[in-house]
Amino acid sequence: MMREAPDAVFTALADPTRRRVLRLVAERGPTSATLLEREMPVTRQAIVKHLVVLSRAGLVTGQRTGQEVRYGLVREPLDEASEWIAEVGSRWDERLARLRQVVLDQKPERS
Amino acid sequence: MEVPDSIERELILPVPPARVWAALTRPDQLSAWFGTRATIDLRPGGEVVFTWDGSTGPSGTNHGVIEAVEPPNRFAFRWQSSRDTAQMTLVEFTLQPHPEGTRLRLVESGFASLPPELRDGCHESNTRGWQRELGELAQYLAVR
Repeated sequence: MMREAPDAVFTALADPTRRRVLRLVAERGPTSATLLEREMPVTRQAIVKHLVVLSRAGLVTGQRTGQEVRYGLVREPLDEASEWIAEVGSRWDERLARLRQVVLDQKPERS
Repeated sequence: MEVPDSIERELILPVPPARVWAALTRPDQLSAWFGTRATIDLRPGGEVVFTWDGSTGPSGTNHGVIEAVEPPNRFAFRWQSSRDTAQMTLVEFTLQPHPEGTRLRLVESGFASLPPELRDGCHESNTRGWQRELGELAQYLAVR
């Protein structure tokens, strides 16, 4: 059976601002919403919201150090999303192999 | 580590396009290879229903909506790619005459699109670049 689809990952990645946040987190290493705010034209509040969505999707993880939370990238969900799509692809490979058999087995239609 | 937004396959079938078209769009023939029992209302906006009988996993149905019926060149429908996802994807078959028969191209796309409840015009136009951007991110991570 197929594993659960990474819908949360796809949904999280569908927003351009969120992709930018994820990219910055990936580039900077563990970083805080305050630091991200300096590099993005959106409010800290908005950045926190995006970090929460990314965190729920498992794409980042937050760690509290003193007053602030620093977020770091988690790669595995991206890898899993790739694997899931590869599985959907292998289903098509099976279907298309059967399709080939079906068209070969057909008797030509006469009119 | 790139997450693709589409699945693409191409194959040459040694029969004319009309026969491939029949295999794609006639319920009995579609059922024979798709892995489920299929019913189909062959017109744009029509419904295609795949029914799993439970012999290869849980039973259930998957409803899709037909997007394009252009015999014998193009057939497309939108559906949930598997029962464990909420994502709607577009499945497109393109048929072209080929010296050996038919060149059949399959593209299933839209894995990273927003779920329907979040979809609106503004967001939709923004989602298209994600694959490229993520590819860049993947590249960046790969060289670290």
